[in-house]
Amino acid sequence: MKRELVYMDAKSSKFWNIELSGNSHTVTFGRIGTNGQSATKTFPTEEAARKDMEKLIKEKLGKGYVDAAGSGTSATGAAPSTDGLIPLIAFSSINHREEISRNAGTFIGKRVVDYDPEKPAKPDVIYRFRGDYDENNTVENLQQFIASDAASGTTALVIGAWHGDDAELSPEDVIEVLVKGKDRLSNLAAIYVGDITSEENEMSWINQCDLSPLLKAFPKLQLLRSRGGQGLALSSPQHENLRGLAMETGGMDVSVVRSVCISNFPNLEYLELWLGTDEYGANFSVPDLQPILSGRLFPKLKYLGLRNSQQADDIAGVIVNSPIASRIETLDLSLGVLTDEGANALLKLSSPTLKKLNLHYNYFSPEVIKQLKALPLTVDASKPSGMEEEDEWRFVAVGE
Amino acid sequence: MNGALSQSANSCRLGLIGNPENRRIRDFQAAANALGYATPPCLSYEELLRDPESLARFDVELIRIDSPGENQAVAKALIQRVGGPGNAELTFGEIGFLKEYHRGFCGVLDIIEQRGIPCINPPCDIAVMFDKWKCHQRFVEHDVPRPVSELAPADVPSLREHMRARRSGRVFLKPLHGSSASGVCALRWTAQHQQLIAPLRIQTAREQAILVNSLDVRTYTTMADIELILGLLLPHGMIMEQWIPKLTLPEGAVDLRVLVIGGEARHWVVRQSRHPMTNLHLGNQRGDEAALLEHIGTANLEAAFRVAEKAAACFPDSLYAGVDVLIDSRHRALVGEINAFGDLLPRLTHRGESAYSAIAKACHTRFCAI
Repeated sequence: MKRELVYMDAKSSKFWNIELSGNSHTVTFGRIGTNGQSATKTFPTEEAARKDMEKLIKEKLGKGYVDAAGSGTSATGAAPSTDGLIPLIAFSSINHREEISRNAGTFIGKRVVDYDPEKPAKPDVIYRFRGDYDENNTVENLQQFIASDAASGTTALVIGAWHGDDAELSPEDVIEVLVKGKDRLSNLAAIYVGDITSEENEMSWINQCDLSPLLKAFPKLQLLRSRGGQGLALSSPQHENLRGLAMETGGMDVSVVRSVCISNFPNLEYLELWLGTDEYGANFSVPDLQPILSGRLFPKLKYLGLRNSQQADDIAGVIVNSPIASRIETLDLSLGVLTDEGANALLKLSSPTLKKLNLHYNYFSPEVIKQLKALPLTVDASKPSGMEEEDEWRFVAVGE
Repeated sequence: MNGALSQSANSCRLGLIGNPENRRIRDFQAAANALGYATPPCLSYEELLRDPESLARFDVELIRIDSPGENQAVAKALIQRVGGPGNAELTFGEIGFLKEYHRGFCGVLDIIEQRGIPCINPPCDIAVMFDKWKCHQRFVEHDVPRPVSELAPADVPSLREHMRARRSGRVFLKPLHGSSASGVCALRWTAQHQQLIAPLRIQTAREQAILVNSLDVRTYTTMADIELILGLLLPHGMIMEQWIPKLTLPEGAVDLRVLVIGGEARHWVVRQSRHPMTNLHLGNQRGDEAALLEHIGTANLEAAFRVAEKAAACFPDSLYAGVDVLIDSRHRALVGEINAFGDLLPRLTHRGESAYSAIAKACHTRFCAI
C-alpha cells in the first residue's frame, strides 16, 4: 500500500510518500525535484504499522498536503504536464498569515530567484523583478530580460516592489513593458504583480493599476495574481484560457468585485479574492458577491477563496446554501474575521464535491473547532501564534 | 599560551567602570575568573559621579568602560552634571534629555581619559560611537558601506517637505545620542497614509505627553500621534537614514550583530524580527545561522564579516565593538551602527569562548602579556 502526497505554498514545494510493506513503513520526503530522504520504521505487527501509516497520513492532510495524483503533480516536479497545464495546487498564494511578511519563495510551485542583470538569464528559472532602495531599475531589468534568449522559454514572472523607495508609484510602466514584449514572452502562463512584503510597502498602500492589458496580451495565461488594492482594476475582464485569478487587497473596491462578477473566464478553476476592510477601501456588500455564489459564472471552479474579509461571517452565512458550494472542492474563508457565528453556518455545509475547508486565522471557540474538525472534510481551523482568544478587537489578518 | 593563564609578572590589574548590579559586570567578572584571572574590581558610575576623586583611588592599570545604562540614578546624575534640570523628573523608561545625558556621559569619559590609565576601548572612541552622525561621517570617510543618511530637520513640517523633495516616502529616524533602539522610528507616509513604527508609548506625566520606551514595537497610524511623537523626538537631534528593507528569511526579517575583537569578526548572531527593529530585547529572537548561510551563501556572509571588521577598523584603538550589519535583498552588507557596549551576547560562543571570555583574553594579549 502506497500513498503519495504533495504540499505547496509560497515558501516551498514538498512531497511526502509513504509505503507500507508487511510490519514496516517507509516514508520518503523532501523538496519536489529532489530525491529527498527516507526513513523506515518497523512495528510489532502489520496492524500497528498500518495504523501508524494512517495516523501519519491524516496528520499530513491536516497540514495541507494533498494527493499527488489528484493534484496533477508528483515528487519529481510540478512543471506543467505535457498539456502545459499548471497543477491547480500550485496556484495557491499563501496558506498562513505569517507568509505575508516574506517574499514568495516559490511561484506555481517553482523556486523564485531575484533577477540579476549581471548574470545570463535562464529560461527554466522564475525571476522576480523589483526595485532597489538605491536604484529602481525594475523596468530596465525587465526590458533586458525580455530582450534575452531566455524570454521565449519563460513560463512565469514575478513582479516585486516595482516602486523602489517611492511607494506611490503604480506598476503601469511595468505592465506596459510586459505588453510590449508579448511576442517574446510567448509561453508566459503565470504572472504575479505585487510580490511585496509589508516591510517593502503595506498591502493597502500599494498603488496598483488596470491589469486587464495583461489578459489581452497573453492568450496562454493561466494564472494572474496580484497584491494591492489601491487603483486596482480589471477593466476588460475576459480571457479564454485563464484558470486562476488571485487578487489580494486590504480592502477591495466594489468596482473590482463587479468586474469579476461580469467577467468572462469560462475556464476559471481558481478564484481567490482578498476582500479586506472598509477602513482600507472595501465598499462592496455581501450581495455584490451573488453572481459568484450563484455558480453560473465559473462552471469549472474548484477553489473559491473569499479571504481576509471583515465580512467573513456574513459570507459564510450565505455561502452554505449557495449553488457554488455544491460545485467546488475547496472553500477558503481564511484570514478574515470569522467567529463562531460563521462557523455555525459552515457546520451546516452539505456539499457533494467539497473536500477542503480553509479557516486559518479565526476567532473560533475550542468547542466550535472540535465540531468543525468532525466534519467529513479536511479542515484547517488553525490560528497563528499570538492570536489571543479574548481579543477585544477583531480584525482581518492583513488590514494595513 | 593555554587557556588557564596564570597571574604572571606581565599581568596587569584590570578594573571595570560600570553599574555593578548589571549583569554586564557580573558576567565579565565571572568570565575573567573562569580564565584564572583575578576578579576585576568595579568602580560604579554612581560613585564616580558622586565623587570624581574615587577614580584617583581606583588602583588599576587597565580599564574596561562598560555601559552606564539601565540605572535610573546614574541617568539622573549624568543629566544633572551638565546643568540639566536639577530634579530631572524622569518617568521610568522615559525618552528625554538625550543631549544632556550624552553630554554628561562624555564628561565622565573625559574624566576617565584625564586619569591617564589605558583603556581597552579609549573614552574618545566611545564618545564617537555614541554619536550617530559622527559615526556616519567616519564610516563614509573610510568607505564603509552605509545607508544614505543625513541630519533630520528639527520639526515635522520641514521633515515632510524634505522627504517629499527627495521623493522618499520612508526613512529610519534615530536619535543622535540614543542607544538600544530607544527613540528609533521607522517612518513612512504617502499622500493617503502614514505609519510610524517604534518601540515606544505615549504617556502623560507632569501634565504633558511624554514618550517612554516600550518592549513591544508599536505602529502608529494617525497623523496626530505621529506628529506628537516626532514633535517630541526631533528636537533631541536625529539622523535620518534610508530605510533598507531587510533580508527576509522564513521566520522574519534579519540582520546581524557581529562582535569584532582585535580586528577579527568573532561572535555573531542573527537577529530576527517581524518588525523593522531587530534588537533582541524587543521580543525578537536569535535567528537560525544555518538558514541564513543557506540563503545568502558563504561568500556573502564572509563579505558581511569583512564589512563589520572595516567598520570596527575606523576605531583602531578600540579592542572590540559590536557592529550591526544589515543585509539587503540583494545580499549586500551595510553597517547599521557600531556599539561600544555591543558585547553583551550571553550564551553565545565562538571557538569555544564566550564573548566576554574572548575579550578578556584578547585584552591580556594586547595590553598585558608579552
